[in-house]
Amino acid sequence: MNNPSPDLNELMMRDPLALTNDEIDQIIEAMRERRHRFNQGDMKAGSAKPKAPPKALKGLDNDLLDMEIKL
Amino acid sequence: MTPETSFLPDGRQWAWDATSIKTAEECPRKYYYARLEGWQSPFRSVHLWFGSIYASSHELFHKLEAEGMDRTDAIREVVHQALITSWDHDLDEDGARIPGTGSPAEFDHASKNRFTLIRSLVWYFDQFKDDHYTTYLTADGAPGVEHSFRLEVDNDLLFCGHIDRLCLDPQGELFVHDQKTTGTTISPHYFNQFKPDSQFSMYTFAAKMIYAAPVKGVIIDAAQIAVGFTRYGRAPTFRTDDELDEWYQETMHLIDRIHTYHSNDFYPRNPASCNNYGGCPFREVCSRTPSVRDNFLRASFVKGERWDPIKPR
Repeated sequence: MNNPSPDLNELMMRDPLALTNDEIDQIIEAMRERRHRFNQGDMKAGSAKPKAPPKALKGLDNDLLDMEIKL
Repeated sequence: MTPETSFLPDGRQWAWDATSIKTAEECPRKYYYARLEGWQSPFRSVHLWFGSIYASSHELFHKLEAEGMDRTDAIREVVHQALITSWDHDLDEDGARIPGTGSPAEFDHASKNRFTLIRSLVWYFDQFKDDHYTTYLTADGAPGVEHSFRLEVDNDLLFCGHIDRLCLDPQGELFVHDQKTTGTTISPHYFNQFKPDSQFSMYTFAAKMIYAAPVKGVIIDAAQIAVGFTRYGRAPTFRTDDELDEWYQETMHLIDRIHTYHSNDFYPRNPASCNNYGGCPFREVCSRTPSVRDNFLRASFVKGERWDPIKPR
């Protein structure tokens, strides 16, 4: 199984003396991707903080449960 | 014999850089506290830290490009060096970084930090990937980058400093190229602060002498560093020969006044400057009665090495 690529914040937390050229290129590409999103209008694209996951839709799961029971 | 200090035996400064000149212009007392006595904040300045690595990274990029390195490789090398410089490794007895030690440099600042530093570099190189400003090559083919200068001027004085890059604009005109970082929005008003300005007058003056070439002024690249983005602006600031002559005369007069203050052992305050640039750090000291100022200096500042323009940084 392939290991997933480390995310940008994880790469930035590694000792830079140990970074490979590929890892530095990953940092550069991740920063470029953020610039692309900024140019699309996302003013927080370049922020170091990862985006918060969307809040769970309360009540919807209960409705689904209801439907299953009825079925 | 290469002089080892910017100060004469009697304490007067004879080698001047833009930092010394600008502080003396702001306030003689601030010049005395900060440049002569060496009083400084005990905390590392995030602005100086960020600006220094940002500027030296650009300098490295132009040097590598001038040496023939591929653009992609040069960007990688610059980013790698910036990552290293912004990591606080432990040092061995020779001052070399010890791999596997330390941690990222940290500042309690929302927009200027290690992450935004690397972001700002990468975004800059993409923003200006088709840059029409090219590095000037001297008559013997050497690139006009990384030039530390020492210029003998009148009254046995020396002007010294460091020019990151000399470049040609699309019309073939020569400019000094400088990088600035700011937290404010970049607008025409932002660039107005650079004229009159002794740093860029000195750079233009020095570049004309060093390269014996008709340097028109300075091209300023400004980067607004925000939490979620970096935005860039570019504008020239021009200096005619008459304007440089005027700046030179004013600077000679300024240095003469500072020397007179030194001879009288009295550096007057300039209260009109106390609230400029976010407020002078010594305002709290100067606002106290003279007999207790030393106490406030020692309570809020530490005494570091005197600012010495001749010493390489």
